[in-house]
Amino acid sequence: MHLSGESVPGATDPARYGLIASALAGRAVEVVAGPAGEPAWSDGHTITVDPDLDPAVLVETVVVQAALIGSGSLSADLMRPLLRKSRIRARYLAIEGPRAVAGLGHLLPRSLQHMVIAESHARSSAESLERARSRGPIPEAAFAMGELRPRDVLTMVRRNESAETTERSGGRAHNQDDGGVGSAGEQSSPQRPDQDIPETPDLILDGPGSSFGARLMRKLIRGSGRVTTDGPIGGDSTSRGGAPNPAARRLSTSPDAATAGTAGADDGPRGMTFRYPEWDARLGRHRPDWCTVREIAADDIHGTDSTAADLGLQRPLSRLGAGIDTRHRQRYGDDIDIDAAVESRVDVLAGTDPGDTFYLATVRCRRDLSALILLDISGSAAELGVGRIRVHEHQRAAVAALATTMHRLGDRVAVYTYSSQGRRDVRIHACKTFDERSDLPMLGRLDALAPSGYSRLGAAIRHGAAIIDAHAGTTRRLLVVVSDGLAFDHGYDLGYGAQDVRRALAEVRSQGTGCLCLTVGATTGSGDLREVFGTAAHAAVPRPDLLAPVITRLFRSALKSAEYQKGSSSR
Amino acid sequence: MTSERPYYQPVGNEERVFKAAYAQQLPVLLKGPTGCGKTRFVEAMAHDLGRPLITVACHDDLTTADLVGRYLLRGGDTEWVDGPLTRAVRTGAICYLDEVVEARQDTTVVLHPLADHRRELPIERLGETLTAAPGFCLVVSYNPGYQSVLKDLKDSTRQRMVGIEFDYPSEEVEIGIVTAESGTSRQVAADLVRFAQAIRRLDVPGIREVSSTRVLIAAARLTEAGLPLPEAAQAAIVAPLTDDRAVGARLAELLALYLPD
Repeated sequence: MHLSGESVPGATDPARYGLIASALAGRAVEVVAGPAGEPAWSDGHTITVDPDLDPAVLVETVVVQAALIGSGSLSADLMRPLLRKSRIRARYLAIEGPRAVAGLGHLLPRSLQHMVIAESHARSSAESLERARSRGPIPEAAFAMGELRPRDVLTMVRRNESAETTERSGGRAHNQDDGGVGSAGEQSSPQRPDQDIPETPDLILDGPGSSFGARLMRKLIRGSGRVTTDGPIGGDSTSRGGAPNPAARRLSTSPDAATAGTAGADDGPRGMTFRYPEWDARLGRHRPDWCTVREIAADDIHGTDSTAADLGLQRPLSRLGAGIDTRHRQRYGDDIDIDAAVESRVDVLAGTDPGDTFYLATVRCRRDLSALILLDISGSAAELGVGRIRVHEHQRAAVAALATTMHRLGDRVAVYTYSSQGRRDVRIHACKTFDERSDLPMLGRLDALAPSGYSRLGAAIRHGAAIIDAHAGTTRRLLVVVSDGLAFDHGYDLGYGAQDVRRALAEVRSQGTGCLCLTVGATTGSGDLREVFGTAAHAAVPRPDLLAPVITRLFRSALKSAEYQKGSSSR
Repeated sequence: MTSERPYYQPVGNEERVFKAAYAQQLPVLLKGPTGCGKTRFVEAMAHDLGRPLITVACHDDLTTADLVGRYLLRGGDTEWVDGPLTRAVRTGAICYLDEVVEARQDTTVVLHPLADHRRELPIERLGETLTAAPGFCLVVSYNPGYQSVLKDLKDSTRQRMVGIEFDYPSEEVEIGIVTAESGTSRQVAADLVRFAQAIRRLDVPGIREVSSTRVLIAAARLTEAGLPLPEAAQAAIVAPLTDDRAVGARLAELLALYLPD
């Protein structure tokens, strides 16, 4: 029996209501236990409830909070006016809660249909707010609803701003960095409503949430460090004054002399430089030798944790099986194996047993698989993701489990991380090379990682593919990108970066390497991921332990696509 | 072919589009989630048009020979055996390739000359090219599926098809279908449909598909056979959705909310 890492909710575990909450909200929502005696509340992604509540009351509060999410009643526009307005907040909930539930009444089970109140005091969320601000009568609550915490909702909204809004504010965001507001928004601990404080207007953007744009904004903020307006944006840039990055110090400082896919003449003992083109969609051509990638050898440093969680990946990954091959002398097949048929006829004429194996069959028969895993350690990975755990922790756990599982299945596995500080400083750190026999040092190196900088994903993908070409040594190859889905760097904005990434992935596939993109724990929307990853196999899972159910299909799809592309290009 | 028309409840213009495509000898691509009625729709169309229907369930080991045919050895002689596609081309049948994206793309390339104005099937092993008999119609289906994983039907194949998109029917229509197909009461059908609609809004890894109309009918039929509704729903709806124990347990919790004992 397959056991996932996820525990089954107990009888009093509010997590049992996660699915109905997700169904009503229209997206993945978790229900978690909060302090006893506190009313239920939601930040728009997680609903916190008192586990000691009567189950009938508890489910009502979950339904209301989920319906508020699903009906858009917790948008920034509606929440901002409720900051520090406890009376209006309570009135808004009393009007909007039943309205939201009624709007989704067709999804409620019969046992909860009593929550669907036909008579509504408002026709929209905005009207609910308007009525809440008035002094008119409000409906008496017919069921438990919990409370609203606008500040916590706005904190999450900030992490989910629209890509459109962020694109529009890209240059402005740089100035915000200069203005020293970069640390704002990192406060993640939930606060009581009475602790609400006015939000910094510049950092709260209106509109429906798009986590893609939010992560872009965070990358600007988190990666900024001690940035100045000179040189590449992002902290720890070696091109400016101040303390250089310890990793960069190990690199050669002579000009890059390498061409794509080949090591430079200035290779140092622990760092080599490479140059790669970049696709400029506006020009409709590659910019040759545009990006300089520094590959930094595996460090001896490592963290304290050298274990990888068992995420139940072994069984699905072991099913990957093999490629197509032709086998002779089969009992069934597409064509007659002429040699076998002739021998069979001779046997008949000689009076001996002719057997019945004289067909050619195409069958799957070998694994012969290698995978290079590219882990995004740019600054945005330090942000909190699903379950209020850093995206980096989610990603690292997924990479550790994926790499160790494949390693133990006999596949050749390499793990590299990437981050960047402009096109001249794309850093690829080796956590495990293909030739490294043990996977234990890799686990220590993964534990020691600290996210920083930006992500020039196209260059990282091209370099990963070059490593695969040079060192994988198998007929079936995979490039696995584990990222929050955001490709952004200096001179590498949202649209430009997405085009370059899609181009890079297509190039890699055409060389016969399958591409697979995973987003783990980030709140990036699937539409945003499609924008970046295009037709490459990709998936977003909220937690690493939920990789197992999807991983086989993703791997198969990536390998199948690469086999087809390779076949097409060879023709 | 059965004399009675297979039950199919139209939800849009799909019947008119199909019959127009058939009249113009255009191949048809049916897109939609599992169990939404694609196969039943083709059966109903074959009945209406009076053509035999040959169905092939595609899989990733399906080869061209499986579709077109192969030589077999009989004693000292070889004997050619038509595959289902060739049979349909010769007899003017409707050939339905179910879940065509599951087939290898080097296999589906054989469809190209059949799917355009040529309506021809080259059979290399025989050294001949068959022209499709009048009445032949190629119909393929696939499930756009989970994110980009299954979106790999070749563009050149896709471009030859008239597309008809399917989705699960509206609540009222689906209740009617479940009632008509199973003979269950309207209330049972309504409870099942509501449960399915909640599942269809879930975006939870571990659930490979959502609950189809087909599984609702199966659950309703189990109740008609005397099984209590929660047990029927557990067996027909929840159990097929996932192999993950934790996800299965969470679905069972959801089931307990929607269809309590």
